[in-house]
Amino acid sequence: MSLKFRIFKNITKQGFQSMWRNRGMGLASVSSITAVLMILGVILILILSINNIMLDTKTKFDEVQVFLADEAKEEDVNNIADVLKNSEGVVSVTYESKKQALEILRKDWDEDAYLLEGLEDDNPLPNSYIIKLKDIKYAKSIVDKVSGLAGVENITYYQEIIDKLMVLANYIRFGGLAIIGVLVFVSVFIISNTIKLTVTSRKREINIMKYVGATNNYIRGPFIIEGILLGLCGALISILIVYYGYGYLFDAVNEKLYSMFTFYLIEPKNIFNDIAIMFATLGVGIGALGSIVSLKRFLNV
Amino acid sequence: MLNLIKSLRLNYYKFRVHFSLIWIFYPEFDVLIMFYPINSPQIVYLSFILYYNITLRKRIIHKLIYYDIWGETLIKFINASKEYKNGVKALSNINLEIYKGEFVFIVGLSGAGKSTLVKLLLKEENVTEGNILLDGLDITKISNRKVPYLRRQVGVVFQDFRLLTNKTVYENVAFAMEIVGAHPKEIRRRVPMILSLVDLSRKANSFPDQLSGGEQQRVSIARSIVNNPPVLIADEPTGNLDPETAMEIMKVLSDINGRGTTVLMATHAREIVNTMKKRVITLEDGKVIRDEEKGGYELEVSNI
Repeated sequence: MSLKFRIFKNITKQGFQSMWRNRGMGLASVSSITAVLMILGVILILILSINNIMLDTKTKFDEVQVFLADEAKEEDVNNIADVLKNSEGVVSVTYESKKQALEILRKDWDEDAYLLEGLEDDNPLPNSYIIKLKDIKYAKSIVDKVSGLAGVENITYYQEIIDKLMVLANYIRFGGLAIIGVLVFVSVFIISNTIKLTVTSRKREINIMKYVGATNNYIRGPFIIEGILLGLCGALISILIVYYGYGYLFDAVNEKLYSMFTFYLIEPKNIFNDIAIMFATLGVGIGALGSIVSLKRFLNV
Repeated sequence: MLNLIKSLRLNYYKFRVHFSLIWIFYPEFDVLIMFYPINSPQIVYLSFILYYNITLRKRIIHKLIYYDIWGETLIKFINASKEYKNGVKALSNINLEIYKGEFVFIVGLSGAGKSTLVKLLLKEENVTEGNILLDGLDITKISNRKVPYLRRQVGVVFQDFRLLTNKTVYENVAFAMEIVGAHPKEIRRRVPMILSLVDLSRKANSFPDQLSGGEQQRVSIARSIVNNPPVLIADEPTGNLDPETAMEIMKVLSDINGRGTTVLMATHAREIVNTMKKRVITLEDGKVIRDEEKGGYELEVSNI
């Protein structure tokens, strides 16, 4: 046990030493990892924002409105309410009378509400049921059920829009993942090349270590630790840049975006943890993998 | 169980040596014990490794091995041949026995197979045919993962010293002990001792660049024996040195040999071989053509 621990201590010490000695090279690796992770951060934020917008739209549009004909009989109206209440996926059914509808419209129109004056007596707006759904996917079955019933004039729901949005979001998500994959690959390549330079400069030393009876893990260890440290440095820098950069952008642009497109960006502090964990893992992974790749050739003596 | 081993260690020096060697080749075992009949020490070849499985609380015979405990053979080549991938036959049908505590010269022209012989012993290359036993263990069969443990049993010195230029003399020697995970206390105790053995105590804090060739070679020898290997292989250790310095090195090597380490030295240097009066094995075209006790440096070509 203590033997393993001593060996581990040696390896770690050598890793730190070698990073310090090759700090010029290290800077190159760190900056390449930082660059990759920053691009990754941008894509990630894009994806998360789109997810956010999707969730937002979903909750905004998870209702079906059934408009009732003015001349509908009371029993038909009650019948419709019964059918709706007994359908799957329905959370609540609210009756919205002509008057309430007008009231809501008036509020929505705000300053232009004067245009609606005089409509109280001859209200063209229909009575309606507003059905809140657990999920938008139940909309179709409810619409099918209700559309044939007497007294139903019209039904509106937003499934198609949402479907289209989902498809778009999926494209963006997969596209983003593909780009991330390529970037990770490229950065492994870059860091493996950087470490290969250190390895080549220490080829003699590795050779000697092999003759004195060092195990492959003992030789590999310091390089892997160096790679991990470089990866961690890159991750740390890119986390800071992405976090503060995005925070600045968020402050500058969020309000405007909402007034233009009625959606909010994701708040920086909400994604900080995710990004930090993801970057740290990727940084470490890229570093370690880069070292392993670059060392493979040198270990056969 | 451990108490038993400790007491055996104290009582039987030979047992301790072999116990530790076995442990090096089978480090995954919890407890290993070797048994052999004590009353017939000369002819015991068969022994077995007992593996005490702590979780099962059971003694299991792991495997029977031929293990030459009390025999005097340390290195044995049995019909060993080596043919490189490009078709060059470097060694053919080598049969050699090198005994414990011997000092052996291996001489021959360039390309006679000296270096290949050294490479085979370090398992840098593997034989194409035949077997090589090191202290009873067939090193041609051990897996790549265990090669480092083999190399800890074989100290090696090269013509070009192969020292780390960014480390001091002390660090160069300590480095070899760090690799095997030796205790820092043990390192601090043993390194100065070995340095004084090769007469370099005063240069402990110098860097290799600041030393003469002979001194550098002595550092390299110190490094190779610091882990106390049973064999020391020297591949033309005097090749880069002038005759006087070479004799210094030879004195160090024969001191080490005097302390019980078997020394195998491949060399070109005629004067050295002739003055040392040790066993000389002559190689030519990959074959052993002469093997003499207290021999001299004679090659076919020089006789013509």
